[in-house]
Amino acid sequence: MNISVREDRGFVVMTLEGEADLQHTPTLRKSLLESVSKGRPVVVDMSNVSYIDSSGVASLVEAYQSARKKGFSFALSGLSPAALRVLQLARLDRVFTIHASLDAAIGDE
Amino acid sequence: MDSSHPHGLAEHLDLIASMSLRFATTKDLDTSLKHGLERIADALDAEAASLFLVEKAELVCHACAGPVDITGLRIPLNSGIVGRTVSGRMTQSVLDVQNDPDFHASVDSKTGFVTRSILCAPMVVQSEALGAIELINKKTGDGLFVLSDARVLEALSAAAALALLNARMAQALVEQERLQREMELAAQIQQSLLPENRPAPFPIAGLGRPFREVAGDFYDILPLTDGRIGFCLGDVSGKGMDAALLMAKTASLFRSLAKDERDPALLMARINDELCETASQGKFVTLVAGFLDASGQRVVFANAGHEPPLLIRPGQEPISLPAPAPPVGILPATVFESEEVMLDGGVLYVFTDGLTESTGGNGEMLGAEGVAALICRQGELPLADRLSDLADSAMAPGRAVHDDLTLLAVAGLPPSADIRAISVPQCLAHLNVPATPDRLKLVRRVVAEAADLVRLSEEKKGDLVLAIDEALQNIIRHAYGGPTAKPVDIDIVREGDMLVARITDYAPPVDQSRIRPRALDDIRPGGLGTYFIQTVLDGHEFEEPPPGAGNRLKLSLRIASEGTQP
Repeated sequence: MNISVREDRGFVVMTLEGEADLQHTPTLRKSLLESVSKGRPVVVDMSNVSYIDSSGVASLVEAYQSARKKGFSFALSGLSPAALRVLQLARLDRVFTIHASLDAAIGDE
Repeated sequence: MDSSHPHGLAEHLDLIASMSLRFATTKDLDTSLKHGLERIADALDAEAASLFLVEKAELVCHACAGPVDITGLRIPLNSGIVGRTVSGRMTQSVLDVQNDPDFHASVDSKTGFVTRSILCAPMVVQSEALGAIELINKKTGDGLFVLSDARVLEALSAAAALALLNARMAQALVEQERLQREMELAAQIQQSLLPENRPAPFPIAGLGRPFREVAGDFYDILPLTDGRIGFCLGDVSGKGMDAALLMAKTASLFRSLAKDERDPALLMARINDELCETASQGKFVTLVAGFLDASGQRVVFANAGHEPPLLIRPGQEPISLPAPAPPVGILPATVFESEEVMLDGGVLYVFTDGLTESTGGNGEMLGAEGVAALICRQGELPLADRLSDLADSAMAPGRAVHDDLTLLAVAGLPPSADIRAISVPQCLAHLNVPATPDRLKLVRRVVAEAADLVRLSEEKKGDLVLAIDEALQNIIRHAYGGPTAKPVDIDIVREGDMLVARITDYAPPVDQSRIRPRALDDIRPGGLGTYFIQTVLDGHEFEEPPPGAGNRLKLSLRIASEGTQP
């Protein structure tokens, strides 16, 4: 999977692309925790994530908890139906702030 | 105690104690007896000694000490000085052997050994003489055995007798336990012969509840490649092991002959002739055997002396279907008749007399009418559940079952159903990959393609992909303890309306009780994968892995979406 990180309007914007599975979890987790450590609100855009498994979800949860501890927001945007289904199964769809699109996420704040 | 030999017994107390202990604890009685006999002969200054045991009407020499080995010698039970000792249960001290009328000189004359004096004590326990120990020729003094010798020998003989009895009882116990284990094994094998019920809409289901461990009843359900489904249900006369063996034989005859015999009457005749050919010691089998044809509507069957099956159509009177033919295994060349029925939305029930002869509170039998009434009272239930409900009703509190309960139900298929797709598991994909994360994507692609083959909905497809992915992750991370080149097998098949994936690893068996999903209010990584598997699937269980494998997980998902189910 591809991961790119940029800053936009005061947010750290992470764009994920591909399948967030066990193979890519170590990279994803490292990158998420780095983004969270920058001391800014984080948006993870998942418009192009076609699949996420429990290890990917676990990385998101860890990053979310770390951001909350530091007092910054952590949001997801553009979830595919498949990815949303997995978050729903884990009952995490109400824990994460989820935006329909990246624009909505950045504009809202 | 003899006062003229005040030290006789006391001198040998050590010997008596150590021999008794050895006899009581020995695992190899024959060796202990021989060793003991040598020490007795030595302690009592005997030139020779022998130990005889009663075996049926004979006395058999089991151990010897001295110059002549007569081990294995058999003499009639009441003959000789040994015989006199055993039958009278009295120690015999013979001072002048050559003039004793019971003395057999034959051994002496063959061997050149000269017997002069004999001391012979019975091995008595619980007033039964198991044998005797005989000492020959005192080597010291005047060459004669004295009373204290007799007392020592009696004590040692009694200890040997007790040891022998213990050993025999232990052996009997071992034998009894072996028989018990064999019976349990037979029951297990027998239960494994009964086919597992297939998921709906498979049109035939069965149920077997043995009354004792080993049953005399059986049934079988056999989908054939031409789309027909063979079935049989039988009751072997008598109980126990030989009934069970006859049952296994009849069941395997049905399996092998049903494949190429279309006519149930001819099938029954062939089973009958095969059973008659090998004498079954007066045992016979009542049997119903037949086929549901590929249309899923027409049943043909033959009945050999069995309870009449019941055809129950909704809203109609139950139809009993008796047949005049005798059971199989009695008369060679018996002619049987085939019966043909159209199900017309009904169900054909076949059952053993364990059901009809189950009794109510006043001892009255359930009877065929009672069975029909119970069936008609049932609501809409899956076929297999109707049978267990029926059996439960027969065994309800206040009722009693006195025999095996064995039931079979043949239902029709919806006209559009393809019976072959339902009967025969259809292989969709087989994969063998190393347990590494970089193969997960490949597996997900294959699983998704397999899901498309059976037109799984998008959501169910995603769920199946997720569940199999998570199961593989568990294997990689927990069963194998990390990525490894060791293999994982993934088999995806269609079984009726279920999609079944079997995932097999070669890691050490996992402790299934330790696999737990995490609690959902606990927002932490870990356990989530197992929770996904349990949530999205219709079934997940560990199966007995094939030889050489470590674990096999069976995951199943209903193919049809909710709402389209009947």
